[in-house]
Amino acid sequence: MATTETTGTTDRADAEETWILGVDVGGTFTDGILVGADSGEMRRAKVPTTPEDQSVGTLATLPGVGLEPGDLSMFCHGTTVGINALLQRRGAKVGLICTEGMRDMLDVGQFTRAPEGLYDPLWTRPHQARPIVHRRHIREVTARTLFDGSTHVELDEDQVRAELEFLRDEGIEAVGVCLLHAYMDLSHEQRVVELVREVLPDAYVQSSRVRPVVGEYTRTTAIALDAYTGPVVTRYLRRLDERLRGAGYDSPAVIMQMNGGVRTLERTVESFPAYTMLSGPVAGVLGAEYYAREFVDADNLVCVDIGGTSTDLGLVLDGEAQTVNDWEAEWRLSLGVPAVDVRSIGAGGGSLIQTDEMGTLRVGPESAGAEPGPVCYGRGGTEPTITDAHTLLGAVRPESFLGGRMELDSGGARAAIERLAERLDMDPIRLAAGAVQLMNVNIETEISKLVFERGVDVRSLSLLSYGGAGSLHAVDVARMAGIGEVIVPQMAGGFSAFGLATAPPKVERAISRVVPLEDSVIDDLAALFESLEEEVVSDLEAEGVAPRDIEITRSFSAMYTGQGIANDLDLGGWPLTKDLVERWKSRFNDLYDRLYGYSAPEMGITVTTLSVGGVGTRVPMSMPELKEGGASPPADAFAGEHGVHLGGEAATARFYRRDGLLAGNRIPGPAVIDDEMTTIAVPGGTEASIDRYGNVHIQLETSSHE
Amino acid sequence: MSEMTTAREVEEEFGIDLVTAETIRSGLVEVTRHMHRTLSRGGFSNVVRELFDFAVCVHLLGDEGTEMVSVTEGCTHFAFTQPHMANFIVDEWGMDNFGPGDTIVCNDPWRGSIHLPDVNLFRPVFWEGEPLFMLSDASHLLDIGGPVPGGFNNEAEDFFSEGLRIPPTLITSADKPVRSTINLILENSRTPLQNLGDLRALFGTMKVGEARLLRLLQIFGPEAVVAASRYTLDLAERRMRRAIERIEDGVYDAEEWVDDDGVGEDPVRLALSGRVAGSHVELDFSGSDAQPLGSLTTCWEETVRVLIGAKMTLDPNHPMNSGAMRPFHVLAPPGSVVMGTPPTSNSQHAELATKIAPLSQLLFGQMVPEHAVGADGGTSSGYVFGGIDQRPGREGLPFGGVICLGLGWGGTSSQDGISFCPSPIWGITSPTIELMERDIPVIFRSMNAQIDSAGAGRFRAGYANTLLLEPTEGSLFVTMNLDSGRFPRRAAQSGGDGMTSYIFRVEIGEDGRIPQSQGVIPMDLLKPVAGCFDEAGLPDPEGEWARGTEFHTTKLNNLPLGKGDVLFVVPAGGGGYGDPLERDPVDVRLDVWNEKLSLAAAADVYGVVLERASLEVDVDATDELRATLAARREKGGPGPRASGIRNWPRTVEDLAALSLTTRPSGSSVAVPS
Repeated sequence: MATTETTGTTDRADAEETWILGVDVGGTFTDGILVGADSGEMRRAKVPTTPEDQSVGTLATLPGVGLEPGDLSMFCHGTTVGINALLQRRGAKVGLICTEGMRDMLDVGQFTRAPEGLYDPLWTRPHQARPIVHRRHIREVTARTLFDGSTHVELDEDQVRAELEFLRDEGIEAVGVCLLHAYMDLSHEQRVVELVREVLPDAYVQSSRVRPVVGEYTRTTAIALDAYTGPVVTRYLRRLDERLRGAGYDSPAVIMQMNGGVRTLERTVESFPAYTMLSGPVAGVLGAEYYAREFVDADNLVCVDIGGTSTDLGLVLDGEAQTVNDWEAEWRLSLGVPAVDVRSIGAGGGSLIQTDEMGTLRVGPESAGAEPGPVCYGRGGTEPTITDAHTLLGAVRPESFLGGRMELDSGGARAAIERLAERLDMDPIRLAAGAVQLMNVNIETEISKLVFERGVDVRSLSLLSYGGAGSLHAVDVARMAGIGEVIVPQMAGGFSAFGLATAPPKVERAISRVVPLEDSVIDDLAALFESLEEEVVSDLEAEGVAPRDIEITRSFSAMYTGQGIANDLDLGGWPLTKDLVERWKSRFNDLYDRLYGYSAPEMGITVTTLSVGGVGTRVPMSMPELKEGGASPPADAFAGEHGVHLGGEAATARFYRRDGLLAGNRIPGPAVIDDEMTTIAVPGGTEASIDRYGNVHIQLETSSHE
Repeated sequence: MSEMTTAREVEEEFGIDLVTAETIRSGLVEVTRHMHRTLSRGGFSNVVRELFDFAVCVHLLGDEGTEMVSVTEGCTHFAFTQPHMANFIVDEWGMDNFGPGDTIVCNDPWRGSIHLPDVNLFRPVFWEGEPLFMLSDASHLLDIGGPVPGGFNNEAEDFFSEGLRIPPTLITSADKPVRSTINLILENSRTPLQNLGDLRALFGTMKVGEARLLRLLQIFGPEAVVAASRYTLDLAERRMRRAIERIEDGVYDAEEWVDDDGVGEDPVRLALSGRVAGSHVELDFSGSDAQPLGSLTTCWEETVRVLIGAKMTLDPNHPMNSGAMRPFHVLAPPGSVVMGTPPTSNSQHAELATKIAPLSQLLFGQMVPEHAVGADGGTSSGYVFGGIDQRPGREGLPFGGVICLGLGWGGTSSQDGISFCPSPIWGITSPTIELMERDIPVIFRSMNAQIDSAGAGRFRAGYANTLLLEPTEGSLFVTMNLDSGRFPRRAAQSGGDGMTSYIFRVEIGEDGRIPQSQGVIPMDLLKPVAGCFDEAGLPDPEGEWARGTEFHTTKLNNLPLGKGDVLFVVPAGGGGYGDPLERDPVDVRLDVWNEKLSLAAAADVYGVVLERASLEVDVDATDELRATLAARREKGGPGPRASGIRNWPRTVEDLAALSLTTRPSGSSVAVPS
């Protein structure tokens, strides 16, 4: 099954347009979105994902968008090859060289127990249960650097060579090298890397050089994850490249990175291919970032992407996608590099509504998945899901579901919910509405954490809803969270692919220096910033970005002296003068006040890490505009009145077809707006309006919770 | 199904619908998650931010007492002690004497605190003038005064020798910090700046929790939130009672031993009986030893910490709250080791806590044999550092720091025990070694697992972290919270016991190198400091305690170490589950392949014969050896011995032979899937 769809107008030859193709590989479908940067024309293709080789499905989007590969100006790609290799433990055969005495570090996992396993003797840390580097292949070398960079014990090269020969004989494909305090002096590690190239010339090698920052555990997991997934990603990208060139494509191919930028395929293969691990959901937040900057009057967005099995959440503040430094692929397997903060929870249209023998009510995280799917899909599902609840509540209507292309068994859905309701001695409608509410609570809870950790006032946020199942929940989630506006973008389906097309080239470099932030160190730190900046600029130049187009950001990770967890804060200026440092310190105190409810200016501040980021320019893009209409929607957009339950209340709602609506239309709730990809609920007491790009805005009454 | 409560019954009993009840239940947990995030990231002492030695709770104020409705644990024991302490505070202070914005601080073990370094804060939350809830948080301050930095004075005989005792005292009044109280805490401590930082973080945490709780009250109204709190407590209670009802009524008994009290040389016995009747259990510490002279005593905490075994065995996956504690009644004789009377000291409370957890697991494992587990290492394996730095540029700077290492947990009925995990009564995490080596003049030369050290079994125990410690320039004192040196750790269902704890001094080479492999250092380089040894002076868990050793205890107090005084600590291992001869040979092979088990131990302990070059299982030879070992046992021979390397490598040359992979093994060795 492949579907294509075109919006906008074609009033000039394809070849003159700057065509950008974004292709995002998801679990079930591969989405392609072709954007004409000049005209704003968009074409969309959706094909089944080809798990055995994602490049097949990726190429299959080309006929769908109806363009010859040679006419494309840019190809942007998001892939799940890396994360799949990790989750399925199908990565490379990895060897790890570590400091003597630290062989068990990955299994030690900082001693932690996950909250759900705190009291459970059967809970095991993921790396112990399913190692990515077997202990046999973690080899110790005698060498010891101290905290100040001095050498306590010299590197024993003969021993290194012997260990590498052992790894070679074991058939190792990738070698990670991570020694204690390497961030202060990389020379031991670099010597080991040279020996690896001698003894295992074909092996992929990664070391602390990729990000020489303090923290031995996270540095080790990052190197191990890259060694494990890097060769797999590299093989895939080379194959993709061959296919693209074979099809006649001759422009740059760029790959989405987890920092929210793109790098060329060649640069991705050269350095840290694991950085592509979770590129799809990241791209969605990038699309939101672009929206916030260009197409909507809102700089601060909570991104809510509710799919079939999970909900991905992200945050855009002041037009910037927010990042974290400790993104984890699994419990305590951290990538250790800045990554767009995307959180996934087990809540989606397919989430199961369940009770247990005590009579509690629970929604998710278990899901009916793609097969059998919700009961109403009629593919053998028997346990009720959230989609079944929506069928019963009336907002999802059989005749309009997926444009009427899929039949819905609403009777089956009703029966499944009634069975559960009977066990609980509860009204089925109340059960269905309650289940939807509990899922909304789960989503709101995650949003509250995301927002809380950054000390943001929720009242400054809008909720951007995309993904198939999201817009039925968006208003209720927003209301619970205290957010005043919901926005459903025009391209609510395939939004991640759109995000790919908008992503700029982006590079970060960091180095650790753990020093109290005093006047005497300012010159040294400034010099370090300058050398990081040189690296960033040269990296971006290699990406084809002109130096004058590079936007540089600089930040300190720092903490009050005596603490152990640092926070990032942008320098807020350049050059690094005493005066700038004083202003930065005062902003740092404010940050602590906001995040932790206190500041401690008299304690002194210790810097741990210096980071420099560089962003190239995006291709400027236009969006097709809708015709202007009046406040009331055109008659042909109206699709009847039906009884529904929205936001927990019974009502008669007016239904509209989204493609019939015009800019300036206003729709008071209770109402439902349907497009092919998503259903938008407009509960009573709220009002939807359509902007000139076709985005739906829903205004809530401002809450006074805080 | 009769136990199942329907939505209608919930509505009738609590006056709210099921969906609202469930929504508020998760909202209450969320309050504490926000608090946890604030305290763990904003705290100063590394005990909080890295060891996670704290918890944050919401308590419901009721007419008949105060109950904890939600908690987010750093360390699990606070989930038991904080609700208990909240009752002490409410009883003594009186709710009438609380106003909005008031916070009480208390660190007194006779009012439920774990030990003096913990400052516990309690702050009621008011709604329209009525106190409805109490929030609590706690932080382990780096120093609370007394003769030993860090507060673990293992040789103290009374609490006057441990630190400052703070009875319930106002620390914020109507949201204003009470300066006199804060000064009292700061000016009696060696680390006033860090303590001030931690107090601020505790205040901030309370503010965050209060805002989030008030929001719940605002959205749902006080009646619904209180009703849902009762629903939350009842649910945890019903789950626990249902599990207890499945236990056969009767009396169950268990015991544990602590090596010594840190002052005298006699071991200390802990006895625990469980009397099960219907859905109720009475736990009784009668038969435990009298309170010793040394600091191995606690007061009150064990009466609640003892429920850890019940929680782990009966209902491990439901969020903890006081409802789960309702079915239990605990008796602790005054004047016994678990209910010391003033002015006893309790610096070694941690060595009791880490024994109470396996004791309680042993007792409840007897009640529910399918959930029985081997004992874990049963010790803190915690090391407290203090002194004056003399490294260049840092001369004269005082320093302090703590690290707790992982134990091996016991084998279970379905899988091996987890490795490198502190006691379940905690939930401690590790500091960053690269930062710790900067903060204190110590080099961590190894934290590796030791080969063969996990208790054997069909499902073996996990592995513990060893510690190889090298001091650099400075005056360094280390206090070791280490036990289980004297008695091998108990197995379950005829498994092998876990090895005992050891401390050695290590001879270090001129070039700074220390020969080590697979967590083992050649015996010729080791000088016994504490542990069990045989006649030849070799370590033997079944040998004689303290034979030829420098000390008669592993609980070393403020031991001075100079440059070059290298110590090697091998903490006790956990016990295995089930007969090692029934372990799947593929799993035995995997441990050998990963160099966690020697070929010799594979044969002697598990009866598994591996081909030396390929490490393939020799099936016939294995069947034969297992039959021989089983027959020997049937004729009255010994069962599986306690784990640990008995024939230690004596020399550097011996050590090389331990490493199976120094020679290339060829491609015939397949990667286990």
